[in-house]
Amino acid sequence: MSAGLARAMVPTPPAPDVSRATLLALAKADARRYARHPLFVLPCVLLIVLMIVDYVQNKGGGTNPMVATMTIAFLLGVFGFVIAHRLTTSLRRTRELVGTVPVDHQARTLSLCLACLVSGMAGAACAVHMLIVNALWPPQGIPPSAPVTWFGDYPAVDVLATLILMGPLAALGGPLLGVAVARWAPFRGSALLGVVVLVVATAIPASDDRGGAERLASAWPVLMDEHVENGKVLSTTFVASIEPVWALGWVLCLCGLAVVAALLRDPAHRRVLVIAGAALTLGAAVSFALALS
Amino acid sequence: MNTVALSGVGKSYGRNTALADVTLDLGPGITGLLGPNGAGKTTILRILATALAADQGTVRIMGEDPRSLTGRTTVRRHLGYAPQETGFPRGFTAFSFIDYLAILKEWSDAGTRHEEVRRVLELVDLADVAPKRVGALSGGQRRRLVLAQALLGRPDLLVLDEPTAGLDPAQRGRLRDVLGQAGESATVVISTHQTEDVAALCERVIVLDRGQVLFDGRIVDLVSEAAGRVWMSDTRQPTAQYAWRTGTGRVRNVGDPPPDAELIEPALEDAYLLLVGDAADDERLESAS
Repeated sequence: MSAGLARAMVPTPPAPDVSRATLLALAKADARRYARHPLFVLPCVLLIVLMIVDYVQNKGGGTNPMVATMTIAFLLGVFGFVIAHRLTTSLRRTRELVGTVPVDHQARTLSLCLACLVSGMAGAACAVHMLIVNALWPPQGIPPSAPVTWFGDYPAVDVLATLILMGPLAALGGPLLGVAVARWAPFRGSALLGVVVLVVATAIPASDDRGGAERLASAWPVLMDEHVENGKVLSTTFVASIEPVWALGWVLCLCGLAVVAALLRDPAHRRVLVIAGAALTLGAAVSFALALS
Repeated sequence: MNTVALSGVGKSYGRNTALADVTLDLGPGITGLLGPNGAGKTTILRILATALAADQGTVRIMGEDPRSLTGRTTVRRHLGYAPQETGFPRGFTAFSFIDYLAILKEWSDAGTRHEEVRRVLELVDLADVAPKRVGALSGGQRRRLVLAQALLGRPDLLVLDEPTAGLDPAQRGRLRDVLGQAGESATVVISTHQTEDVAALCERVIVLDRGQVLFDGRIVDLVSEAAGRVWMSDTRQPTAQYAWRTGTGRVRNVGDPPPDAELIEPALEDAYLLLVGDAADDERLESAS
């Protein structure tokens, strides 16, 4: 008797969900695909070059937090959107094959969301580098006693929350949004359309004359303002009407909602996902309100 | 219990009936599906591979109903499937493509998975091109790559659509050996237009035409149905349904022989041609009356 027949004769228990080990192995493979993608490698190289240039130009001292976080958000977040979109749709050509494997589409989507952590970690590394540089070589102010561009005497928790939100979280959020868009709108050109929407949704509400609510509702909330005189940045301050820690909570909830939206494309675990989505929506609304209060 | 049991299975695409009331039982060994284009072979294979659900009838694979998520997942854990045509994602090497599919087949341990990937690549003679990009492989190599992934984990049910298409004679010979070994313990179903592959490999043959089973039995039984209906002559014979000049310069005729015909032993191809040709004639007569 064949092994197959022997197995077929034994009543089989309900198929368990994809095991954690399988999900981990898949996430590792997807993370490798992400890390080797040219649209990730090239921006990383560019980021390193920019860091070196910044270091040389400032003679070892200071990093402009606005420019640095914007560079992270653009090079890792916007490009990450495209990478994640491409990775998500890459198996479409093989759908006849991958449609008959035990690991379902939802698990593959979750794995891709986990792979987006590669971008988030690269953003975190850049933010850590920024902190180290500023700790080792504090920027000189005018007068010399006052720090330039580096938030003056604001609480460290607010500085950290702002840097995380505008740097690593933007680098993570872009790719997560890419996965969600690819799952719901997998048509040709949706990646390009998504990038345009992302940039426009960032640029319009981010201008200086907008209020806190508009800024926070932007795709990339800008929580700081630079004060420039004669082309030189004198100081960096927070937007008075936004509480950075709650703003961080708001963006974290949005990232979670992107994951839930991507997973909801498949019918499995719908109840759990709807509950999670509702909790995250509530969390986002509360965070948004508290950030502006 | 059979590995596969189809009962009264039907499938339509819009107004076109792909399968009509098909009943089949399949067990370990190699079964060949033969039939003209549009006969429903690929539809049956896709149903067996859980890529498609039947509209009517009952389907049991490994005792499971593939319409339920649980049943489908269980079947997929024992399945190896090579579709007729598939695209390939960009950026993968031959090794990484099979490795990725192995993960999707729940091979989570990297060490054993890589060993298994190397084994199946070796089986289809692709070990040398493992580091090559899939995009740089030839058509035959890509075909074997699809077969390699189907062989991952020695599946209990192997469903192969046109497995020898695009392969050279040496590769076909090698593949026959691989499939022959797989058929010793697993249920192997292959769909093909190559009657010589079926004759060389399969114990059982199922001939489909217009979504219905015309013949289901041993190859020798199908061949015996053509006995006395194949003959050689110097010229094309008017009573032959099919006739072609062979390499010897003489004409091989398949059909109703004249009384003094020089009868020869029929091959599977002759029997298949007669079966499908006769069915078409019957239908023409029915529609004329």
